[in-house]
Amino acid sequence: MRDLQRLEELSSTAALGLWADDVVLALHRATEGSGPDEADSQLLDAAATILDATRERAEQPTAIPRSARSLAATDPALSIVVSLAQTTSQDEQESTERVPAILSSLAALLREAAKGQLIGTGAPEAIAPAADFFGKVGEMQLVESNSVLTSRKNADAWTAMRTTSSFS
Amino acid sequence: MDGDANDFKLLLASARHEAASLREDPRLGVPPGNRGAALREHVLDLLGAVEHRMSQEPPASAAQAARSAFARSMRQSIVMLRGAQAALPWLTATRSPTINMGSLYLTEECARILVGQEIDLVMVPNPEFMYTTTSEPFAEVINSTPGFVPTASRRPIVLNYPLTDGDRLLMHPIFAHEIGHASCDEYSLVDQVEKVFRDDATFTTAFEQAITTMASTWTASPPPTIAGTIRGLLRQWIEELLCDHLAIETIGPAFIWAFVTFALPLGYAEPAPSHPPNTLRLRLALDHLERGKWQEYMKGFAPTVMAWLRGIGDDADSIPLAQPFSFLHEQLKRHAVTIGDTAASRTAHAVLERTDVESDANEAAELIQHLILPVGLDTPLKPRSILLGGWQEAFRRHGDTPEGIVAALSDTRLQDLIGKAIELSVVAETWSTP
Repeated sequence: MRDLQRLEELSSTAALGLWADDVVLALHRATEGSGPDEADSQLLDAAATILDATRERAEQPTAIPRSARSLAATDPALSIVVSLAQTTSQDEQESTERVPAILSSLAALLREAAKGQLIGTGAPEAIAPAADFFGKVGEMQLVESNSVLTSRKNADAWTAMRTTSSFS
Repeated sequence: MDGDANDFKLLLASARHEAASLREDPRLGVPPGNRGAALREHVLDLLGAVEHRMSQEPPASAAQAARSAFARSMRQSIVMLRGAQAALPWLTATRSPTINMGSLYLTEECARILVGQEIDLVMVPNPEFMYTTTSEPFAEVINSTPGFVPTASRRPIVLNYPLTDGDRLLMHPIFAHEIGHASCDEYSLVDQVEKVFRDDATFTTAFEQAITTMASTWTASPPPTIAGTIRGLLRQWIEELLCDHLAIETIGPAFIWAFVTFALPLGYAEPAPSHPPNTLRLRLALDHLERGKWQEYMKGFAPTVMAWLRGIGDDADSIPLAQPFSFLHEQLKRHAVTIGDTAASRTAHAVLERTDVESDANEAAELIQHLILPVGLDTPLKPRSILLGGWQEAFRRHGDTPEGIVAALSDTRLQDLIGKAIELSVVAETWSTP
């Protein structure tokens, strides 16, 4: 079994949070001066790809993510976008339908920033939805990292389940 | 406010403090030999990655969102540095190993087969009674640091074993399973298995059904979240089964006997999020051994135990499980051959073939029976053959019964003999290699 210290889990949880905060920092750099450098462009494009993968999962739950990293990265994105949709809509059906649209617009925003198309006046307001979104991912992962560090037990209460059915 | 000037001062001072307390700890000093050196470099890479991030402080004029993001990244880094303290006792363990030397050599051979030549195996006695592993534990944080280039060239693999098991050679085939986790990481083996599910319409239909069923239990979660959770469970079960199969490919039936002795007293048909039920593990393991033509060998000296184990494996079909475990259970039974083939293709260069080792294992068993160190009469016997021969003798001495395989674990003379023979076999082989 994987280690009881859960260091690999801590590392992957922290790495995802660090990545989300790197996206926020890259977004801001992309709106300043001469625009994003190559590394920031790649980071922003990769973030847009993760949002695309999240949209695919929202539209088709049985779709298989390409890797464990993709599965891990799209989980918090999915959770945040669902609550984002719920806050802007009273109707459950309507909020579910809004999820793919929100993700598509955020991905488009990141790709514009990656191409250096969001420089100058008005840029901070333009990038705010994406920066807020990835900031929330960073916050969520920081809470999770602290939880992994201080506890060896899984506290996923909502996944509680019976393990065996009765024989009768 | 987070990300203001004082917050930055606190965070940078704290990160420097945590990094220094690790760097200055004597346990992180240069080890006397090669063992533990890559683990040390791995920890130093983590420190380097964090220090690289510290140098990226945004200017005072940066937007609040950017300053908050940097502050969070510093907090994440500090959490990680505090977690990294767990590696210090591991480095200490490399300086005073308590594991049997023969077992260490055999496990290193398994690691080279399953992971590759560039490994650093660190064996650590564990205060918790469990065999566990971790491999490159800080890699994700190191590799996700833009602009930072790590220096470690070998993969550190840390194996924990129960404090009382340092000399219990008969249990140590479990190490091959543990090293399987590093092999899964190194070669993305779980992804390889999952690809097969992608084109399987029966799997997709069953998956949709499992999501619908679980929606009535996990009512707070939408279908994509439920699907993600089930997918995560599936990946964990695939990995555990892959590790079982990798162990069988590498060390043969000795793995089954060690596994049964360790795991069956802990659980029978109960599934866990991290592990499939032992009934399913045994069923698939026995099927894989039979595909490898091991059944006659095993039945030759342990017919009763093998019939008993087959009965447990058969219970994988008769004991019903609740969702989502029944979905995982059924799909993994359907794709058992895929799992076996994935493991076999990884070990094809050094698989343990019955035809290659049976006569050597018999020779080792006979020598041990006469209390002769079973290094080999003509040429040195291979370590894996000696271990198999040791298990043969364990059955002869202690009986072909469930209680017999447990009694064998207390036979320290037998296990000392096996360990010393493996050690000398490796030494003889090394001396004779030009």
